[in-house]
Amino acid sequence: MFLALRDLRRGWRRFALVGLVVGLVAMLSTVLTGLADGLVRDGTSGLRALPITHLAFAPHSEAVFSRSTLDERALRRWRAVPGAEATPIGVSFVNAAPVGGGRSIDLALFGVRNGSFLARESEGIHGSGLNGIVLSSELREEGARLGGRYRIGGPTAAALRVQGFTFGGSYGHVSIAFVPLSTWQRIAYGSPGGRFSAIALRLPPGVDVAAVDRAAGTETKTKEAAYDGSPGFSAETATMTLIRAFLLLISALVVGAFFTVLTVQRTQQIGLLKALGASSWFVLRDGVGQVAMVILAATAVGAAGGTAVIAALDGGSVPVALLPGNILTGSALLVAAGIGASLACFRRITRVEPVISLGAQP
Amino acid sequence: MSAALALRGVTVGVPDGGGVRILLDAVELEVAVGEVVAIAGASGSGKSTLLAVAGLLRRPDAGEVEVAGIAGAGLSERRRGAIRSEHVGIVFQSANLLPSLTSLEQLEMVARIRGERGAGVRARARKLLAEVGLEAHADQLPSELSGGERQRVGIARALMSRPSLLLADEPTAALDASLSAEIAALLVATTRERGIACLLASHDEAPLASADRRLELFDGALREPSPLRG
Ligand SMILES: Nc1ncnc2c1ncn2[C@@H]1O[C@H](COP(=O)(O)OP(=O)(O)OP(=O)(O)O)[C@@H](O)[C@H]1O
Ligand SMILES: [Mg+2]
Repeated sequence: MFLALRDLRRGWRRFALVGLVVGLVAMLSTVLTGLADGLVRDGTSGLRALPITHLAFAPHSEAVFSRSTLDERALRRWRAVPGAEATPIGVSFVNAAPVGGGRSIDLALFGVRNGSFLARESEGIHGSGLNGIVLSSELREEGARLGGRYRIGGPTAAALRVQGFTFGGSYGHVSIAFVPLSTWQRIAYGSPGGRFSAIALRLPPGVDVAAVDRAAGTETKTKEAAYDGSPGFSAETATMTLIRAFLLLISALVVGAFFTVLTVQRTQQIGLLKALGASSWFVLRDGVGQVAMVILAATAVGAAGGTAVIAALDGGSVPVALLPGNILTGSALLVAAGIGASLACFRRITRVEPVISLGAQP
Repeated sequence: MSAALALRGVTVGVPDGGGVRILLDAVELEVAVGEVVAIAGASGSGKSTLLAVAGLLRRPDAGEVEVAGIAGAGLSERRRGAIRSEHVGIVFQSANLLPSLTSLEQLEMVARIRGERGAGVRARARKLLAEVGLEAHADQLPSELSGGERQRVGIARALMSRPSLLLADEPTAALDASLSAEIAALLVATTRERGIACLLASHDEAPLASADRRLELFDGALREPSPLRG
C-alpha cells in the first residue's frame, strides 16, 4: 500500500468521479433501505405490537389471515400446552362508515376475546371490557373522536361506539381497530360463535410446535414469520431487494470498469514494478487496496448522507425506519461488490510483461 | 575474476511477417565483476532484447542465462522476479520513475517490493541519493526534476537493492551531450566503486567511450565494433 497511499494523496482528483458515483449509490441504497424498512415496519406494525410470540393458522394458509379459519377444537388443543397462553383472533379488512354521514375509513379489524391477554395488554383496551370499537390512534387525524359511532357492513348494521384509541398500528398499510370477537364474527361470518381466523399464542421456550400443530390441525408461525402473510409484504420486500441488487450491480460495474481503465492506464507502471521484482499479487494488492480505500470512504460518506436523509424524513408522512444493522449490511455489500469487481482485473495484471519497461516488445 | 553475468548460446526469435526473425543468434557473453560492457547497434538490432534476457525479464528461446552464478533462463516468472530483485539493478531509458513518488520514495519502493521497511531503509535511500548528488531533491516528484536529475534518481534506485549486476538500456538517450557524459561517468564510477558488473546498451558516444569493453550487436551476433563506425 506504500505506492497506493501516496498515489491517492497526490492524485486524488482522478478518483473523485468514481468516489462520487459510489458515494451517491451508497446514499441511494441507504435511503432505499430506510424506505424499505419503513414500509415493512408500517405494513406489519399492527402485528408487531401484539403481545404474542406465535400465530397458529389453518394448514396451507401461509400466514394469510383471510385464508385461515380455525375453531374451538384447535384452540383447546393449544390451551392444553403447559405454560402456553392461547386466545382466538379474527382479522379481516372492512370499511366503517360514520353514523350521520362523512367519509368512511378502511380498517384492518382485529376481533379479540374480552379478558384475553390480547385485550388486557393492548393499549387502550385494558381496564374496561371491550364492547365498542378501539381504533388505531392514527385515525384521530382522520377525524375519529371518542364516542363517535361507526357502522361496519352497511346501513342496517349495528353502530359501534369508539371506546378508545390504541397504538398507531397498521396491517397491510391499513389502520387497525379492535372489536370484541363476537362482533367480529358477526361481521365476518354473519353469526357469532365458533370460528375465527387464527390463534394468538404466547409460548414458553421449548414447546414442540410441530407436534402440537399435528394434533391441533394448525400451521404455526413465529410472529416474525407471520409478517410474510401481510398484504403487500412479499411484493414490497421483493421490489426493494431487486432495486438494491441492481444498485449493487451498478456499483460493481462502475468500480470494475474504473479499475480496468486504471489498470490499462498503468500498464507501463505495472511493467516497471514487475521489472523491479514485484509479483502480480503485489501489484494487485496495491491497486485493489487503493480502490478499496476510495470505495470505503465514499460508501461511508454516502451512507452517512443517506442516514441523514432518513432521519429528516422520520416522523413525516413517508414511513421510514433507521435500522443500523441493515444500513451497515447494505454498505458492506457495496464495498464487497466493488472490491470483488476490481479483483476481476487480476488476469489483466498477470498478463503485463516486465519486459515492456525496457521499451522492448514482450 | 568471476562472471557476474553469463549468456550462453542465447537465442531469441521474433515473429516477422509469416516467419521468424532470429534477433539473437546463440549469443555468448560474460561480464566480469567490476567490468563495464557497452553494446552498440542499430535501432532494432536487439539491444533491448539482449538486456531483457540478461535481466531475466524475458525468457530466451534457447540458451542459458546465469546471473550471479544462478541459472535463470528456465525459471518461472515469480522466481525470475525474485532473482531480479535480489541481484539485478536496472537503469531505464528516460529513467522510468513512478510519477506519484518523490525521489526518496522511488528508492524506498524497491525496498518495499523486497519486503524491507523501516528507518534503515530510509537512511540507506538518503545515502544513495547523496551519492548521486541529489540530497537536496529527495522530496521532489519526478515532474519537478530535470532530465539529468531524473536519471540520477534512476541510477540510485537501481543500486537500492545492492545488485551485483547493473543493466542500463539507453541511459542517456533523453539527455544532451554534456549531461550524457555526466551520467555515463556516474554509471562507470558506481560500477567500479562497488565492484559490480554493468552491461549497458546505447547509441550515444559517451557511455560507449567510457566502457571497459565495447561490442556491437549486428545480425544477431555480438562482435568487436567495426572500425568504420568509430
Ligand atoms: N515479441 C516481439 N514480437 C515481434 N517483434 C519483436 C518482439 N520483440 C522484439 N521485436 C522486434 O525485435 C527488434 C529488436 O527490438 P529491440 O527493442 O531489442 O531493439 P533495440 O536494438 O533495442 O532498438 P532501439 O535501439 O530502437 O531501442 C525490433 O524490430 C522489434 O520490433
Ligand atoms: Mg532498445
